[in-house]
Amino acid sequence: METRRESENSSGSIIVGVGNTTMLDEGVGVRVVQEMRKSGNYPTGFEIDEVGASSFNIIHLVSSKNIAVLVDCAYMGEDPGVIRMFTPGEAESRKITTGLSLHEGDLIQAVRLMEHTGAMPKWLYFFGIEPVEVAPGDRLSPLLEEKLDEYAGFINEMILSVIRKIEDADA
Amino acid sequence: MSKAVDINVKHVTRVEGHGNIVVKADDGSIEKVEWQVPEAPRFFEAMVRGSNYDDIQTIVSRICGICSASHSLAALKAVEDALDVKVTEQTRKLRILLNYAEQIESHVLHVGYLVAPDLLGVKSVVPLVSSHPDLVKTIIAAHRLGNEMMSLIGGRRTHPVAVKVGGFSRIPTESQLKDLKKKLEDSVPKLKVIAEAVLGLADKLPAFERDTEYISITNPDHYTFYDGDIFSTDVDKTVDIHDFESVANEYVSTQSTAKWTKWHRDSFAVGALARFNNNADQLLPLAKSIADMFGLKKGCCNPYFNNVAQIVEVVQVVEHSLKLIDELLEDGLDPEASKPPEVETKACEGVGCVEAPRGILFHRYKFDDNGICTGANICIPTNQNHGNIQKDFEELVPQFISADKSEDEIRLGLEMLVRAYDPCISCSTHYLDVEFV
Repeated sequence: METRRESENSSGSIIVGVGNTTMLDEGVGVRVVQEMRKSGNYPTGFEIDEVGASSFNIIHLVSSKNIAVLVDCAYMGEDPGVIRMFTPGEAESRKITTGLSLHEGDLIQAVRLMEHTGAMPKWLYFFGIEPVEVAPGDRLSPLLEEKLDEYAGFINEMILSVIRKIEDADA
Repeated sequence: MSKAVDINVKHVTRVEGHGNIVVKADDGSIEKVEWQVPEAPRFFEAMVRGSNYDDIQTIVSRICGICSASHSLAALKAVEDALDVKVTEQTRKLRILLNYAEQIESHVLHVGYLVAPDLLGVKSVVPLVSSHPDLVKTIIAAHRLGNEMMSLIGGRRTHPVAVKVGGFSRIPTESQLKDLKKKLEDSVPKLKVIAEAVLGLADKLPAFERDTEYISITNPDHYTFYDGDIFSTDVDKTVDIHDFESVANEYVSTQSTAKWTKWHRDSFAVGALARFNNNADQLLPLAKSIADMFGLKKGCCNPYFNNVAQIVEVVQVVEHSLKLIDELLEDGLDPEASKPPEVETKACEGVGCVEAPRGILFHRYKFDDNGICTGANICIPTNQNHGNIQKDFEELVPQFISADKSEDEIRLGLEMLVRAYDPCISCSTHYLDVEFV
């Protein structure tokens, strides 16, 4: 699953919530990382940050990081509320990119820009969460609101698993 | 002229939000030319009702991910106007720096990521990495500078949290400001590279001019983005911002879910070119040299040159930021001078205004005795430009057809025109406020 990239001077790791919190479930990425920050339920040494609808800001947040994790609302053909982990390569090959949130185009474009300018993080992962509804509104649908803890826990576990695999590979 | 033209561009690409371009013509006769904004309403003016005065800026900054600081600042100024809260000179200067950070971010994003691909004949900025790698890296670096400046002053890269009614929850240290100053100084050569690259492509900007009313704030002391009165190219006198409704004259257009505006004519324009046309005499030397390089002069009525005015303004705000930082350092930063004061609530009403990257932005709020918001009116720049885009379309399309442009050429020309205005349609939708009795 992982695709390692060689990146000079990569350092630090970050989890970024992406989305617009005034568009119901579109803001789930931001809400999840806020939950992780509040509970402390994330791996040691990781920064937590968020971007709104300005996806190009992601470039400055994650470029040249060691591990970067983007959490976003994603139309993936799953049942509402389902969370999935994937890499940019997988999303492209499976055409998932055509359904990655309202800001999908820009987010993928931002990743492509990083790829082409040598600024990609060494390891980059997406966590997509299938929305119930994307429409004006300043809260999440009840289903996603109830699952915020679960999402935070899942992301934490998956990142720890990735770290173990990276350490094994480097050993 | 015998060909038929049938253009229906749903959702112009590479602008924030959604807009449609519709052109129908047959045998040289134009049946329909429309700039449509079909986006759904977002109800922010309703959302803030019932909120405490201190929470308004946090809520309304979410109107837009690109111009969140402008919404925060306009809201804070309106609240302070209502509650008679005065801010110190230190706070004022730090807020101007925050506004400048947003101008840098937004203008660079627009010119580099959205306009440059048009001028270089590609569909997005990504292919430019292969053909113009150094230019793309320079653009990313300049955008990063705006991002870092926003984070330093506002506490976050977007949707600032450090700005408060009457002050800041925290201010930068002298060392951080010195570091920012160094980065701003280092950015000047990079900005010149971007300006020279655009200059090399300036002949690709269509030579279209339409006599237009331009509106911005103006201040006798400096080229302003933060404080001043409302000024139009059509009249000599200024209007106090408290009377902004008499300037905007919002009305409903059947082709749009967003309200449109007009003042002395059927439409007016706001944004970088409007500010330039009203205030160019006050540009600082380096910014003026960039304007001269492009031959940009007051009175320019080519809407495509809004992009050039944006480049001039990026240099202007960098140049002025350096002066402001010097002044702040000379006076010595004092956290107490920006400490939010105790506020006594009362039934009141206030207006705030700043220049967002896309143009003049107005906020009005009413509060009850307890400081709870009972009413809001937000008039955003993109809405103020919709009518002008329509009027440009009406004059430009016949020119395109007379010049026997192909459908693809007409489509691209109109898309480029819309993008020249740098619209942020996702934050412009603004429904009627009705009461049934």
